[in-house]
Amino acid sequence: MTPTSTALPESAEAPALAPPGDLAIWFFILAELLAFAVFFAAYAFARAKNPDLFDEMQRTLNRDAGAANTLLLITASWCVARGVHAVVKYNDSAKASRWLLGGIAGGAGFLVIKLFEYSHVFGAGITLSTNTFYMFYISLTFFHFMHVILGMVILTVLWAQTRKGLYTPDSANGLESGAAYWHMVDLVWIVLFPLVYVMR
Amino acid sequence: MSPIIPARKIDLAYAILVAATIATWLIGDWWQDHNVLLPVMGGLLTLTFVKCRLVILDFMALRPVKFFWRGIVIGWALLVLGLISLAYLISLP
Repeated sequence: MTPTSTALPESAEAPALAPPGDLAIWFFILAELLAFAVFFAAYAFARAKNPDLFDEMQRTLNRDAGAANTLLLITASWCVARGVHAVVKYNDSAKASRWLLGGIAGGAGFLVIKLFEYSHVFGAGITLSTNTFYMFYISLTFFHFMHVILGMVILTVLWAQTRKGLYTPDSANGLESGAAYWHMVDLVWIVLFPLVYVMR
Repeated sequence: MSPIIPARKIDLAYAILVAATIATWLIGDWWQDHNVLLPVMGGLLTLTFVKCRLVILDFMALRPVKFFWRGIVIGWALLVLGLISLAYLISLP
């Protein structure tokens, strides 16, 4: 699709009533955030009961991998936000599809690093029943890992649709909904990284 | 019409997010060998809240949306970080 020559204004006079995308995706996002909140609180209070174990086990994690994964997810989110911007402001599907491809690459990088981490953990014979820390580490990060995989599927569909020029400034609900889901996955990791890898 | 966040705001948010992530990474390395608890934890949680807020406002594009929606998601971040702080305080010797 050919980009329009006139860019749309960046701020409306009155605040928008609803967030970008379908309202249904926001209820889904809020439900997901609630589930992660319960998980995070459970981890934090379990740690409070046995901080020495959690601190000792945390030393066995690869913090560099966790930080690299944070940078990858943030970069992927930035790419997706710029992709949405390219459509809703400039109606430039070609540019948007390139940004979305960047987002997919960031997500793929995250999955590769996480798989290396899991292979190290499981290769050392660690399981869910090794101790409380690893029960939380494996279940919490794997729950998030599954969300990244779903996010990658969504981004791939959005990329294919965007390449076909199916989204326009007046019809970008699907793109904005998928992008909001991806940002939720990023948001959750932003809390998970300091909680599990850094806090002592 | 969809709410539009200016590109420069999205880019600025990204730059701050990268810097805050590197700071979190460095705090993690430093913290392994130092027994300073509350000030570092306070800094870590502040950095995390700043990062959450940027993602919510500029990436999720909730900045130009009615406060109700921003408030729910930012409230989620405050609630989670508040519970983590409470659990951390309980764990202190």
